[in-house]
Amino acid sequence: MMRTTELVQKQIQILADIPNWLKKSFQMACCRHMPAVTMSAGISETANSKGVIIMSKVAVLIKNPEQQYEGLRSSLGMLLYNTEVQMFVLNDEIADMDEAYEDNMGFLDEMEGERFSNNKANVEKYGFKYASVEQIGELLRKADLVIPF
Amino acid sequence: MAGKLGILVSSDKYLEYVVNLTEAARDKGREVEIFFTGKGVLLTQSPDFTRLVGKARMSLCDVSFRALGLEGDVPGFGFKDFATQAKNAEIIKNSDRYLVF
Amino acid sequence: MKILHIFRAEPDETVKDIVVSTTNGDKSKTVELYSGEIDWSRLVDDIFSHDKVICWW
Repeated sequence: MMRTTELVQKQIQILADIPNWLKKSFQMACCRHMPAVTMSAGISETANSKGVIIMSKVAVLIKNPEQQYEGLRSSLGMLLYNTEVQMFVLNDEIADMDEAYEDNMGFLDEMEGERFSNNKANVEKYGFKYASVEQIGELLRKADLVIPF
Repeated sequence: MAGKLGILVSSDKYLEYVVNLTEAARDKGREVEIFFTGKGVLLTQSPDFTRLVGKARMSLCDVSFRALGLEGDVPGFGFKDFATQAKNAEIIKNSDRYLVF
Repeated sequence: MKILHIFRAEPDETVKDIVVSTTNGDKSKTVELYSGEIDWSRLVDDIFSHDKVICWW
């Protein structure tokens, strides 16, 4: 998929300009309007020790190299909405580690998303946590929602 | 009947599945909300896409839409339906079940 | 936990392995959309009667 460099750069800039304290404030502001505990998409919301409502885990599973960037973008969107996200890149090395992917990967790390891969190049070159296919399956069991890209 | 179905469409291959599932869910009184992203936005250009209009709330990723060279109106879409990935997160939160095509 | 596995296309070995470890003995049902013989109304019922639904590739 062709990425419109200008649009992507604008997106990156918007994210980069938001300081972490403001991102967290935004998340907390959103949470004030949420009911205390609800079930949605099989996802339970629970309050943490500070009373901030957080959603439980979403696993984003990416197998098609053409979908690697899209999966990363979706993961970021969910993180901004107070979702705990684990992103899994299956089998293939990141096909296009360009500025857009690298910057958004950094944002995912900053927003405390987790990223895993069973491809060792992704672990060695790009800091993914290694997980075998079996381990990935075990992690998916614990996720409330699994999104295959 | 309570129970909302959320659908993420990230591929341009499965319009028929999305249409059939949406129609069946609506027939059973389930609310459906669909978010198109990545290559999924290409389906908005299909003649069969209009089968979804009026049967589901729909929105799409505007970045994907423009990145794939698309422009102009989409049947059933208002201005605010050209959205961001945050909209997908909102749909996940508000859906009882969530599928991906 | 009851898991519904929906396959959009025929799963490859990686997907099969992940499905096995994800299910790990829980009660599960599979629906193969690519078979072409789908009762969509029943599928909607299955989606809402299972605790977890995963729509695989």
